[in-house]
Amino acid sequence: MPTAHEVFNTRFVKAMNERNYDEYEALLTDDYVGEYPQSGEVIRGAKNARAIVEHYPGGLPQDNIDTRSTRIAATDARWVRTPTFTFVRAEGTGNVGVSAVRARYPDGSAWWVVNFYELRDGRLARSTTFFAPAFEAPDWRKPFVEQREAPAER
Amino acid sequence: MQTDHTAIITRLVRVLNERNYDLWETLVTEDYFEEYPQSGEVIRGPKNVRASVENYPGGISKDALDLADARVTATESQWVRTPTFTFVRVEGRGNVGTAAFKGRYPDGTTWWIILLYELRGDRLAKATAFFAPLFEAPEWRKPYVDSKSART
Repeated sequence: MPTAHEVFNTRFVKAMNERNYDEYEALLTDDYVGEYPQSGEVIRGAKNARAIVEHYPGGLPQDNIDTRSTRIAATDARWVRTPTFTFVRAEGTGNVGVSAVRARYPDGSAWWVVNFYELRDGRLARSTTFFAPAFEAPDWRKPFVEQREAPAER
Repeated sequence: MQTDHTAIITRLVRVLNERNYDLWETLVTEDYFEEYPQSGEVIRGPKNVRASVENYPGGISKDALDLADARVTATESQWVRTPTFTFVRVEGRGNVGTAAFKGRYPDGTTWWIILLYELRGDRLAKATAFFAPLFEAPEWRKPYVDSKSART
């Protein structure tokens, strides 16, 4: 049986990928607060959060979130890795979780979106979101690391 | 018994800030596994993870990591916010946690470092790290957001 975190994240990503902004707004509490620590922005309320995804310059691409690479950790979580480490299953009974998804933006760039969130009755009440760009592995680190996937796939 | 994730993460950060690489190496398990999903890099074992911090071009700055506004969460966690939302305390019994803190790099740039980690005992066994740069809030978003002074 899927957990509240799995149910929420599946609905949330589906709404984003289908650009279903009515559903997106319904998944947030009315007093939702979101913050972007990288820029200092704070978003208050479901309407403002909706406006941001709806007005993204160039429009968010359909299916912009790659669900194969999703990682979720939640309270009471257990991480179960597939051999390719492409999905992390979470089981949580609490209201706090973290998700990481890979998203593609209108300019073609790929970013990891990492979200520390709180749910209230199955809706997103609070989130702290980080945006981390794909990058090339530097040469100096190569002696110490393995390379997992081709840069073109990032 | 509770696992004090905050204490463990604080110690890891303090050891890195002191550039005490001998001690750093002992804080991860022998089969430590770290990955950087942004670049596809995977680091295995204490020796390699030590080398990856010790050989950072230009050297890691002393006190490069800023815990003042760190966020940590863990299994069975409780988030306790200060009025300014600057610190999140955590107490968890499980071995899985997440942490976010700011780091300053030799070129002067500041990035948020986000860790999804697993502990074994009180040592770091696995980590998935993300590196997120500071950025200017874009003009188009200003009608919908408040502004905090995060770009420090």
